[in-house]
Amino acid sequence: MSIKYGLLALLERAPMYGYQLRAEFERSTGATWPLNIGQVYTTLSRLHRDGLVEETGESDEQGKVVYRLTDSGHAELTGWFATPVTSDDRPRDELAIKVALAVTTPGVDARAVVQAQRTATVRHLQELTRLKTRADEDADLAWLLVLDSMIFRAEAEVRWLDHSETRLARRPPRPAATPAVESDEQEVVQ
Amino acid sequence: MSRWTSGWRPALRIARRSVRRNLKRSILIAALIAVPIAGATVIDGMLRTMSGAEHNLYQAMGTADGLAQITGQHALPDWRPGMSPYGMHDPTAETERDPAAVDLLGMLPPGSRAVPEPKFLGVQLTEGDRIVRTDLMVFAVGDPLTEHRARIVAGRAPDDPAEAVVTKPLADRLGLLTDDGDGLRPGATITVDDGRTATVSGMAVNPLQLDQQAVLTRPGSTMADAGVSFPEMVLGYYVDLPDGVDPDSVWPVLAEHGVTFTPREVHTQPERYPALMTGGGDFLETAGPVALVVLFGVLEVVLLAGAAFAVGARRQVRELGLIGANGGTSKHVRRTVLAQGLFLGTIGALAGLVLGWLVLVAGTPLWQRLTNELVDGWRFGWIELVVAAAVGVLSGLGAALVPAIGVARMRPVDALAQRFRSTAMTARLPVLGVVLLGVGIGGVVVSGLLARQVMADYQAMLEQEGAVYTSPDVMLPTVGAVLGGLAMVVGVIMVSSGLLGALGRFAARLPLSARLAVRDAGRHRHRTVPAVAAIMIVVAGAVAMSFGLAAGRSTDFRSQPENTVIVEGDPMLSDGDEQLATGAGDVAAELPGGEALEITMLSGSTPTPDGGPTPVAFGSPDSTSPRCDMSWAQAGIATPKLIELATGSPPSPAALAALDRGEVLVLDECLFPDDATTGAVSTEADEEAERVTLPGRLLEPESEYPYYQFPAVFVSAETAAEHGWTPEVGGYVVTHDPTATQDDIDTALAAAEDNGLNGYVNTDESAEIQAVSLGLAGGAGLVTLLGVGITVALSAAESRADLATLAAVGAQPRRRRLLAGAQGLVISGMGTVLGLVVGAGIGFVVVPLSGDLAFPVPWESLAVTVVAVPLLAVLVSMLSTRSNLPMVRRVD
Amino acid sequence: MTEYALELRDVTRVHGSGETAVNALHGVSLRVRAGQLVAVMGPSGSGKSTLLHLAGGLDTPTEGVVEVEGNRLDEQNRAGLAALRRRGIGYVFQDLNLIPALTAVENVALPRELDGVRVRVARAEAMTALEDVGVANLAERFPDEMSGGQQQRVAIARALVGPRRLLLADEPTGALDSHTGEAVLRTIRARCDAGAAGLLVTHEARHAAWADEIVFLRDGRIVDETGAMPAADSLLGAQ
Repeated sequence: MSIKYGLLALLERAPMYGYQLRAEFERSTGATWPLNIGQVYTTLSRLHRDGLVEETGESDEQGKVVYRLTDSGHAELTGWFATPVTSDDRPRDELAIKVALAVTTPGVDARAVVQAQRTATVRHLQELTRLKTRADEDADLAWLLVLDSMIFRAEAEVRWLDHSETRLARRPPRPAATPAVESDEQEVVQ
Repeated sequence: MSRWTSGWRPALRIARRSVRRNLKRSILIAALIAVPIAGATVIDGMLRTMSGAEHNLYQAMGTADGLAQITGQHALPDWRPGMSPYGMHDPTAETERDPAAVDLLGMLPPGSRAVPEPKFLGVQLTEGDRIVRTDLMVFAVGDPLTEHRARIVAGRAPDDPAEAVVTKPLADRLGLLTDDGDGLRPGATITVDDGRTATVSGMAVNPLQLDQQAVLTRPGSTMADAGVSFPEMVLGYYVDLPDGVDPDSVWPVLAEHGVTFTPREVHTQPERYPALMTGGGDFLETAGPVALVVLFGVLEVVLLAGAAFAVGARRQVRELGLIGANGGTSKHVRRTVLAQGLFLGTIGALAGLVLGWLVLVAGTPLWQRLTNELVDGWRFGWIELVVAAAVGVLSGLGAALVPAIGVARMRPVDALAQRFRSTAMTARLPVLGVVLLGVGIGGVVVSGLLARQVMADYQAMLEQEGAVYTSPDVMLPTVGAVLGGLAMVVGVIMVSSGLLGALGRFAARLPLSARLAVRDAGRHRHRTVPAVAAIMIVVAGAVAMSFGLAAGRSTDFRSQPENTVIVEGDPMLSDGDEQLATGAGDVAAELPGGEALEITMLSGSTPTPDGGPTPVAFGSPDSTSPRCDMSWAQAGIATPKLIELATGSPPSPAALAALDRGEVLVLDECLFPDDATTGAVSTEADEEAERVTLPGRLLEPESEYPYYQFPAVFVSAETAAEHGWTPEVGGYVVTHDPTATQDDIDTALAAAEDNGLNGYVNTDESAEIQAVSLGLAGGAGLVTLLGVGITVALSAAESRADLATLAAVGAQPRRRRLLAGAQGLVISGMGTVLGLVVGAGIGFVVVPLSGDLAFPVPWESLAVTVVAVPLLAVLVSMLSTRSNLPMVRRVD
Repeated sequence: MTEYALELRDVTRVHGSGETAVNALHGVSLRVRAGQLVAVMGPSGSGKSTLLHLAGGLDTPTEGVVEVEGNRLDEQNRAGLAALRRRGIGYVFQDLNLIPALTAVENVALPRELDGVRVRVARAEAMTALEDVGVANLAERFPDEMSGGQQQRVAIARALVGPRRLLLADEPTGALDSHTGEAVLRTIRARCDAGAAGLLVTHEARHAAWADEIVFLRDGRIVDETGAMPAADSLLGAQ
């Protein structure tokens, strides 16, 4: 997933200029994926270069350029929607690698790592749920779907952590020399 | 109060809806309660209608205000309503008067009406060459005061002296009915054998004796003196008093004139008449067995319905757990189950009352035929019915009690999880049950021995002391038997639970179906034990009864030889020897190998005070032997065939020679004087009669008692002539081949009847007893089937998951049938065996009490009970099991 | 001591005895305040249901103290416990919560009627409770005429009818599809926001996430807890 397809999808609805695109983007995905305007313009110029969008030639009162999809842009977008997302497209799973390393690194309590991670993930899950509570079922359907996606992913992570904890619990305990690694910050995951 | 109702309100609401939701089970339970109550309602209606105070009143005086009876006494100062008019004497007068000469109306208050009671006579009508003997009733036919004697159903009452009315059965017999069977042929007449005829003006029925055949006619009519009757000592009148007359002011006046007056109130308000003889003495004797039957009946219902309830409670256990989770105490939970019992008990009781009423009302024609009475309207004893309904409601509650307590005792957590604490294979016998069983068996055995002793002593006393008027004291053994039996029943019920567990232990070696069935029975005792107990009780009852009946049968005796019809004249109407001879010939003609033999009795020369011939009777004038209840017997003329019939074997040449020598043959040793070796018998008569003593010879008859219509003393014709004794035909014995069918015999009896004669055959009581025995076994079988049916069906419903597993591992449908059959066998087999033990124990007491010390064993009915009942149960449970398994779980 | 609607202090529950003894709960402490929803998460067999049964007095702890609104359950007799359940505690189980023979409103009124409240009053209270969960229109339906989600909402209404303020929910969405389940949780959440105290037992993180606080139970011990929920808007701030 990239900003590229997000912008193409937005332009499919109607021609827009940069700031408008950013606002729409955030509205659709909730505040979970903040963009800065620089990212929008960099992406737009790349899309323009590749012939996927074009300037409409009109501009608003402040002189901002309005973009619209070209035919090839449209085709690109349709192709994207039609292609399932595969795991190869995702970034490498840092968490899995972290837990794997915790198990093999002497002196690290892997269970503590797992539990700390779980607490963090569940707290994240709680926050997502809280957001969902506030959402209006009808007006914010797109937003709710994105939230659900994040909720289910977090839940899957919790389940995987639960599973890992059970596995670790069954393994005979190894002497732990150093204190458990504290890792309760969200950023580590991302 | 409001707290009390508030505790029951949700329970009742849940009960009401649950009953509707589990309709089949509810109907079953309600029916179990309803059927006995319906039976009780029918019996109550019958008793109240056919034998209650109102019935007695109607029978005694119809709708009259009182019954006046004119006696031969001039005054009866000591008489009080409720006493009999007979046997009272006027202390002031020596002579008696003619009741017919008394002016009754003159003594009654002005405006009274008095109608005489019917006079009964016998009459012989002729119809072609047939003689039809019938009753002749002379009274005011058609008067409202005699409507309880005859109601005109066709035509009208006679109003001409040449008219008469016949009852419907007589009209039928005479062929006077119209083709549709309801009306009377117009212009019908009847003819008496002396040639008098009367026109039949109408047809009537006797409401209290529907099958009565009678000619009804008014006093003074042509037919009125056609019949023969005995003179009446007391003349009765139905009296209608004017309005406002106090009956208690009437009877003292009448009693002063030697007339009794029994007012209606004697029947309707018996408490006002202390002189009334009340039959309170036998109350305990009737109430005891009735109470016992009711007790076991209720126990039976409680057990069978209880098994159904137990399963209902188990299915509901989740709901009951929810009540607990919502703050219901165990009391609330208990009430929720009890309320269902209450509800079903009430429904069952009401349905039973309605059903019973319907059976009575809808079946009125049938009941009329069975009771031989016209039913004007059913009467019920409301108190009894309320008690019966209350017992029904209570038995519903009782059935729900054990499951309710069991479920309420569960922890809510277990109830919510529908987890039942395993009662698995503990084969521990409850101590109390074993003790009760031991006490019960001991009590029954001791009572049996005691009964045996009491009866043996009694018979020895009879032997020694002659006439004894005290009856044996059987109170102690009877009470012992009842209490012992109860202790046994309760003990067996308590022990059977442990027994089932023990059975489960040995199950490992059994084949699969049997093993599963035994284990299932052991694991689900909540339904197995009640069913086993229910079967046990009925089997025990049937077995004990058949023991009692077998004892009665072994003391049975016959009144005449096998394959004979005895033909006798009517003592009032018979026209003499010729009629008898013709009749006997007609009877013999109807029977294969029929042969009529004359039975000739001997009469003396001096007539009796009322003009009849004096019978020549032999006996021992001073006999004191207590065993003999017959000290005199009439003599008859000996023929070899008659002797053979009377003794069962042809007379020996020695006996015939003795007859020729002028000796008498005696069939009963009682007829000899104390010292039988003298071999002499004497004739009997009153003091003045001539007494003759002849040498006698004893013949041993094959039957224990001499046959009724046969002479017990045989004399040769020559000897009789020598002493101036007159031979008289007493009757005929018609012998026939054993091949004669019942139809032949019926035709023969009808032939006797058509000649105006009486025909007798042996009544086969053993067949009746056999039928009753088999009926009992059948009843036991029915309850067994019900019990087995309930448990097997419940088991199938409860273990649907197990059965599904069984099917999933590849068991054929046949396997499930086998399993059901095995379950039926386990339950019915166990119930039957236990019932046999208990019943035999009770029989051990009952048999000696009936006077039979030989203790005969009724093998046939025992075999039927023990073998056929379980087999039938197996068959039915196998057949009723569906071979296709409903795999979808019904949500209920 | 009435600060907490429910408090468990060092609660231990051992099933059976001797060699077959199973330690279902071991030294568990937990507090639920009014207006708070606490979730207990753990795999099956972790002792979640035992915890819930102990909290409602359906089961008694081997050691430790359970207090409901300041009342120590171990000081109550059976009748007292039942009365407490009638007036204070409401259970919602996974399914089959309702008595099939009673209509929705009658089911909700049941604890009040058991408590001896007059029929009309109990019914009025039940209607209010049904309105609170938004199914007042189903009042006269029987359980088998309602969907699973509707049944669960009626059960929630019953759990909080009249004076009842403590809701104990055992996998209340276990038998529902995820959308209906979410609606049921939303209802529970709303009732807690309106002032009830809730204890929710579940094995699904997605459902536990509706709670203010989540406790992780494993083999009868609390291994982890999230603590009180941070301010709702911190997510955006963290980025």
